[in-house]
Amino acid sequence: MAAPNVKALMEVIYEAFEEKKDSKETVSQGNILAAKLIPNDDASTLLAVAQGLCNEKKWKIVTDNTGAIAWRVRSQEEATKYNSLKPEDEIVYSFIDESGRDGIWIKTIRSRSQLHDSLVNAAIKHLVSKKYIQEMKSVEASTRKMYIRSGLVQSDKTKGGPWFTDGDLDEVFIDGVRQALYDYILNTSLYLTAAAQKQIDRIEKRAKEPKKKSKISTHQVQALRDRGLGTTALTMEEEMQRRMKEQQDELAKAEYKYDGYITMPAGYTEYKTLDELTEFVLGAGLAQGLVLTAKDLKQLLDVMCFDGDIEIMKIKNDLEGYKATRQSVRPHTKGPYNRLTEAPCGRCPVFDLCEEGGPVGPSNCKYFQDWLEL
Amino acid sequence: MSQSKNAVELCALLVDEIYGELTSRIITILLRRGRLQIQPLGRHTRLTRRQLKHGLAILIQQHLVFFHETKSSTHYEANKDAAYNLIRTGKVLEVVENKFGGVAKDLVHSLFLMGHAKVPDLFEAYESGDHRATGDFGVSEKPATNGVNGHTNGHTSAHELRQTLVKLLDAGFIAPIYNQMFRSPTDLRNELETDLQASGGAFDGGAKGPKKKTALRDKLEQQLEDMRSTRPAWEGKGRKRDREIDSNGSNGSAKRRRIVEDGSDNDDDLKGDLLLNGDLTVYLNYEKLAVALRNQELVALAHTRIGDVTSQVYDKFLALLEPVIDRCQEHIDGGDGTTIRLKSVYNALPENVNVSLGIGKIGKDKIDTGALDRPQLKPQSEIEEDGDDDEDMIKDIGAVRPSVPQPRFIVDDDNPHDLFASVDEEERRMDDLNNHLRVLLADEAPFLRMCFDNEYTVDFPELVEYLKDKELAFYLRECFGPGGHRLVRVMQKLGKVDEKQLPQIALMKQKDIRTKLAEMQMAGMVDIQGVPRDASHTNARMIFLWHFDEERVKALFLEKIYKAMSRHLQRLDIVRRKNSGIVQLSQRSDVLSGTVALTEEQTNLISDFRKTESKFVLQISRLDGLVAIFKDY
Repeated sequence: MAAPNVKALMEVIYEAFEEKKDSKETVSQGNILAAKLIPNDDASTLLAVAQGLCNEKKWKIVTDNTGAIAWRVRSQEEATKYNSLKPEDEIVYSFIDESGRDGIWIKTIRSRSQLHDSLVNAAIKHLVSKKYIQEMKSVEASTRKMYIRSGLVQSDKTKGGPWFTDGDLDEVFIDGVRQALYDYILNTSLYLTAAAQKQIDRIEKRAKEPKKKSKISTHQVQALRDRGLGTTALTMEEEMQRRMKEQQDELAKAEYKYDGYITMPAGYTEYKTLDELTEFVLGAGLAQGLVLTAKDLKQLLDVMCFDGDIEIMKIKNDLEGYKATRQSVRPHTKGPYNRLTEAPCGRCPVFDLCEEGGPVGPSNCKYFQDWLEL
Repeated sequence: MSQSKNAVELCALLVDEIYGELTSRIITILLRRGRLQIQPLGRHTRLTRRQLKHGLAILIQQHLVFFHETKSSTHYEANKDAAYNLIRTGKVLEVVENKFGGVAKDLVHSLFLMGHAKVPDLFEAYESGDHRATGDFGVSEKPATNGVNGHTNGHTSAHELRQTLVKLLDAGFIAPIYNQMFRSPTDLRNELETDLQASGGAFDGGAKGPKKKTALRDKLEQQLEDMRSTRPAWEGKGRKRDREIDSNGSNGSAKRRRIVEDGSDNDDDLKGDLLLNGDLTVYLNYEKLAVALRNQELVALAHTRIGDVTSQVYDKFLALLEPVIDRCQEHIDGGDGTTIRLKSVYNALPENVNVSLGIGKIGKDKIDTGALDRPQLKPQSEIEEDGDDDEDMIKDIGAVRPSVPQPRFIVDDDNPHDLFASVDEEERRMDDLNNHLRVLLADEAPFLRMCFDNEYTVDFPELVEYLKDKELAFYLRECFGPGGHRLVRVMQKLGKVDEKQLPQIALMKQKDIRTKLAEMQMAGMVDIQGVPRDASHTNARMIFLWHFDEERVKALFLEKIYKAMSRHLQRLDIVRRKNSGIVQLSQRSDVLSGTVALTEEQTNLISDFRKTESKFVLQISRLDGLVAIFKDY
């Protein structure tokens, strides 16, 4: 019997299992034999073929979960990459390759490969320059130097979900979505009385109303001209007044809101659920092209619950809706106060030391003095 | 109970403030050193025997010291709670005044100064009209309401006085003294235990083994509870008309009561006469007063969480519940098994409370109260017992419970509609009221629980726990900002949390989290635990878990309040001393009578001083409100 053409068989077998490339699936000896591609099921031929494929870096030997030998299939391009690399580079690259979407810490490469630091550094440099790998940032350890194979998308675990951009918390984005969510929940879960609505409208209308044109004294005209400003611009004093007015309006509005937002009757079924809120966020185009899943939003809603801005209300059938708390509409003039922190002692930085006769004590406390003079 | 340094300091300051230095010195030693006989007490206080006896007499009169007599010796022990309660006087007077008017307030004030007193003596003290004590909190800065001059001009009739006292006795704010109150709870317990063991039976020769020990403990609790319930009643009848003490004590602890509408008390006069004849000696019952104060706090919570109208409804509800609750933390006694019916709240609600307001108006198709209108079981209670007690209760008070489940949106069926002229009006009001109760039911805070159809109760322990959490949360937010508050809430909910996971859960930057947590750890609010992943114990191979120990933080918080209160008192004392000259001047008889006029500068000084003083007093009483939440309710 003629010796089987190992080269040709390699081609055939590689193609037979090519669909398993770049996946976690492995090829075992049983798989190959079952494919009936090896003449006479000859073990030595099989060995030769497998060895050949491994040498060409098209396959990689691994042990599967039963502990038996198996092979993982690489794509043609990957195999070329491997073939083009020096041995050290290849080792380093293989570690990075195996870490997949999670990436790998350079220190781990060093300790696992047991290569000299300079070799690893050189290899990394080489690989980066060839664009085989790239640096990445992980949320879990932002200071670590980590690498990932080029072209792979970082896993969610290291990326931190949509709330993170380049490993950093995207606070502006979060605040935006949060505010929109909160406003939506507030409007759907509390009832604004007509009287309060009227008052708020009144304030808003008044603020928008163009100012009545009063006669400008000659003195003021002079002043305006001197500054070289147009007649529409406001003087400094007026600007200050306007700002004060705005602040007062804001406060008045907040107070009307606090009095005006009353609770819905118990058993109200229209509290927005997570699904409805997700729909709202997607519909409002807040996601800026990111995919915000219900799970991600739940994360944000949980945080809002922790902060006490909203709370969960049970709707029938174990459905849970979200409701804004009255605490969250409370204007800052009305608290929330704590009775301890409003006294000087509650905020005292040296309270632990405070003792009559000690370095600080009630008799020489200057915080008390400030508090009394308020 | 171990006495913290801050608490001792505060109690000593309070006693000093009101009863002077002698008593304060004695009680400080007693608080620091525990129970003492008179000789060691003399040694530590360096007081003569005569001084000591004098001081102790005052302290015992004021219930600030317990004593325990054996054949050979007498031990004295400080009553820490009573000493602390001194701070609450101002609030107590306010509550009494709101409920029963000025005469009652002055009466209570007299009793406060006397500790305990026989009724005729109390009246005499009241008539003499000398209520101008300077030390009590919350009243000293309001000269207009001090003493009888403020409103009665000394012309309160004896009849009125007696009626007021009857009211106060009925409310339980004033109660007859009883023997056990002069002995410390521990002594009482020990005595009972000895008695139990000596009397033979199951506990002969001491309790051995865990089972027997539990049995003994239960029996003891039961007896203590019985003792409380069978305190002498001032009318000579059972203290509670609707309370029956189970004679064998087997399930007395789970008694349920329902408040039946009371006929008006026409027999007040009769009772009033009883007072003067008997040798009745009364004292100020702080335990019961705390219940009234707790109600205020809970109503305030309802106000901030839900709104004005609902809180008024809740106020009425709690007022109805008040008569059957002897003290806070009464749950062993089953006092929270008392239910209030919708109808009772309806009847008690003043006309001026407009229940149609305060809740959003929404079409009924968007409301489903199905789950709310079903009676709920107590969260951790035993279902079986509940059922049994039910039946007992109904027999006990002879009320009939509607046996058919009631349809939604319906008023009390016991109430025949045709009796009312305007049924619609009536019905609508009842409906609105019911909606308020439903809102209270549905709230995150466990304000109410429905036991049966249209019958409600309050689970005080759970509610107070909620209140504590809220107060603590406010404190943390003020001290450590929204970030710190958020992290604590995360830990409260999830228990121990890996540091690496916190940024994801709390959506905060790792760096900020670390800074904040370190800051809070320094303050003792949170703690860290390192779990090594392998034997190397290097930092890199560790999992760091953060956690928040609620109990410890609450204790810390309480200590802080005590200390802050002490500091306020001390500072107040300094302010007083600084201004003592001018104050003395203002109290000279010629100045008071107007013969000598003060200069403008002097008047200003005095008004400034009064302002400062009232600021301190107010702040201290606010802090006391916090202490009450964490300690007493």
